[in-house]
Amino acid sequence: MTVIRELEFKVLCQRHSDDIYRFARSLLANDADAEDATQEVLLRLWNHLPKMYPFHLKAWLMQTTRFYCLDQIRRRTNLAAPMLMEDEILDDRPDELAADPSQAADSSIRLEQARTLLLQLPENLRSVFVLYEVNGLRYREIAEALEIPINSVKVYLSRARERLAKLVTEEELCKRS
Amino acid sequence: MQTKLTQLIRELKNEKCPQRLRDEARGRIAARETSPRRLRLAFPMALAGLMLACGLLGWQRHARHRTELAQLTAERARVAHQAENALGLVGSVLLSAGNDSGKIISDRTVPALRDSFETAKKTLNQYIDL
Repeated sequence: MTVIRELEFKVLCQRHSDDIYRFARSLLANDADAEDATQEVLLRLWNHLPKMYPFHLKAWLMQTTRFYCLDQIRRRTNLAAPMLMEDEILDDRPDELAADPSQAADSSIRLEQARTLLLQLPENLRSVFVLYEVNGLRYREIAEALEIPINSVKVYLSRARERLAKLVTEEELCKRS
Repeated sequence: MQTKLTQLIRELKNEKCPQRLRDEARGRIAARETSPRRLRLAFPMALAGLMLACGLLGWQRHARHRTELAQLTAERARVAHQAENALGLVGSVLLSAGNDSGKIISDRTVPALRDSFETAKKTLNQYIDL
């Protein structure tokens, strides 16, 4: 029984840990905190695995991640966490990108720019945007995870896109000037 | 603008969870899961150990009790035997004392009584002769 549970957990870890990490990273704006959050959610997944309803798994994971992250934010009061310095960003890239240092550096900078833009959105819009566009959840799943109506999900997503597009344009203008 | 947004989404999608996080989570789970297993084994083992210790203690106490009882019986028999010997000795001493005292009395008093009787008889005979 335990072997099956371990196997199931391993598969679920492989499948969902990226989503959890990305969502936690977008909420906490800090790599170390996002790693802690991911571990905590994975441990909670292990505890809830025997009584888990598989069709709600993704929504449950995102909801747990969000609750944990918001709790951490409330505790540490670091909503506007400082961005990492460039050196730290370069050190923290995944191993597969380390093969080509210049490519890895470019990728890190682009990723950091994307994170910076994303962090300028309010938490609800950011959550909806990350869950839909980055993690690929459906409207129903997002509504379930964030405990809001489906219509609100659609509205938030539209607003998030609009604001991000505006932010991207502003950034472009700043660069040109 | 849409291209930029798509590029931004692509960048965010490229973000991966480090493998070590999964390994650490699995390690923590494994560590947490082994301790209840150990506890599950430890409880019956402790119970068995306790029962064994209780059995040994009881057996030891029973053996000690039996030894003490045997020692007490032997002591009682020895005391009874000693008392019997002592009483025998006292009896023999008394008997010997009785014999000795009878002999002493007869040795000391009989001649004196006999002498006084003879004296009285002589005195009476003198009176009669007169």
